[in-house]
Amino acid sequence: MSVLSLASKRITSFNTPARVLISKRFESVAKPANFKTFKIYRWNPDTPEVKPKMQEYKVDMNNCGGMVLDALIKIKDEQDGTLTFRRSCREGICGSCAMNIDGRNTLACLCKIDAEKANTVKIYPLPHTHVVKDLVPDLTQFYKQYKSIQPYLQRKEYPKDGTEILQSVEDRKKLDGLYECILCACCSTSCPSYWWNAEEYMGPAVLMQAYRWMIDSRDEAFGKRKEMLQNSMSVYRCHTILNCTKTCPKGLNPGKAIAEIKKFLAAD
Amino acid sequence: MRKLNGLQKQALALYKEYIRMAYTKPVENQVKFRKYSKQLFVEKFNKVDRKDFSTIEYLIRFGTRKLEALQNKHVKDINI
Amino acid sequence: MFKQVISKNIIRANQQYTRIAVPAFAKTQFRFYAAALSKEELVSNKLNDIVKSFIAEKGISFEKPMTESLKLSEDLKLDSLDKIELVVAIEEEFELEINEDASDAFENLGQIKKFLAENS
Repeated sequence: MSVLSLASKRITSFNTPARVLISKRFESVAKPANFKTFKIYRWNPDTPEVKPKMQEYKVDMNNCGGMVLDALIKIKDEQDGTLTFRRSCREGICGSCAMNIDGRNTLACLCKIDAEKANTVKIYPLPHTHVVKDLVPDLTQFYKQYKSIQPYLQRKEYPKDGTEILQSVEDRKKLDGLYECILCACCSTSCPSYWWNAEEYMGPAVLMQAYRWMIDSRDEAFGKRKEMLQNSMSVYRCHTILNCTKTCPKGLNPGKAIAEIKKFLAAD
Repeated sequence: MRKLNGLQKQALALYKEYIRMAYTKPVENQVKFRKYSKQLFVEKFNKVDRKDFSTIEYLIRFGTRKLEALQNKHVKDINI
Repeated sequence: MFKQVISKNIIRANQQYTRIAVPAFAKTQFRFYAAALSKEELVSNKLNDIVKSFIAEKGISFEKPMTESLKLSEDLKLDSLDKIELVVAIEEEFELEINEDASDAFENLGQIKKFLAENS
């Protein structure tokens, strides 16, 4: 236990070395170490002939934050600097730390560690993605598909005075539950249909954004957007398995958005 | 010569694309691009067992991505 | 490198010449251009030039003459990657495409010459 980590834990009252020492003694008496085991998927692209393996790390939960991301950062800082994962905001708004934790796709920064249970936490990269290294998935295909739905406002005319395009309160409301998506790819990589048809099926995250632009009152490309999806693969590989909705770490409902798109397409 | 399996053929086809890419570069640098390609393939593929399919598949994906970057027409020279 | 460029130009010039020499005018062509070579010789010369510059680039020391029985893997010590490089060099010079099945079968210079004579 380093002086620094203690000092940061008790930010306000203890900052002189003597005080820190006292608190250290006090803590070691008061709280017995509470170790939690993390089993983490490891694979290094520099030695591709070495097969992936699960590596175990033990972390004392008494001086670790409550989220899985806190444990990962602690392991990387103190035990194994080679452990590789993406992270940025640590508050569920950037979508970088999407991974498979105990069998569920979620954001490591929003996933609580259950310190009471004795079980080990198993951490894998997002399923059915090519792995770049350890917990870092290759999302190139995902981003390509997102680009292909042209996720930006398209219209012929803009206000001449350069101001924003206005929208009624009701129209704005339609975007709730859609615009919050942070494209972490948890839903798409949890979808069995997407696993088998990632080349042609758009996947829930991208389709939800397609829907978001279709129903935006300011957008005028509805016909074109609909036409792009009007084929047997892009949307119709969705068989309403609804893993997407179940796994979404932001609590959104991509399954419903896809259903709405299907209604648009069927009306043709 | 031993008969090549499907993945070995894919790897060689990828190498052919690398060499073709070299011919699209400025004449004075083409040799460098070929040398780079050769070195890359020898370094990455030679230590892998020919039956180790998952690793070879990875290397082909890796090589394809790299090739896409090198094929960019703004890439004009390379140093090893 | 310059050597290669020059030889390329000469080869291109020859090639244009052979394209003009369509069978109907073959006789007159021969009358005026005493140095004209048969198609087979042209292919052979061109191929030898390619192989020579290829050997130079690879730093392979090989002094013997380019005979038809010259073996790619045994005599020139080419591995499968080198062979592909050579095939692409040939494709570029002859402006054609050689599919994998054909190029896999190349073991000596004679086989390449035969293929080129039939397909170029």
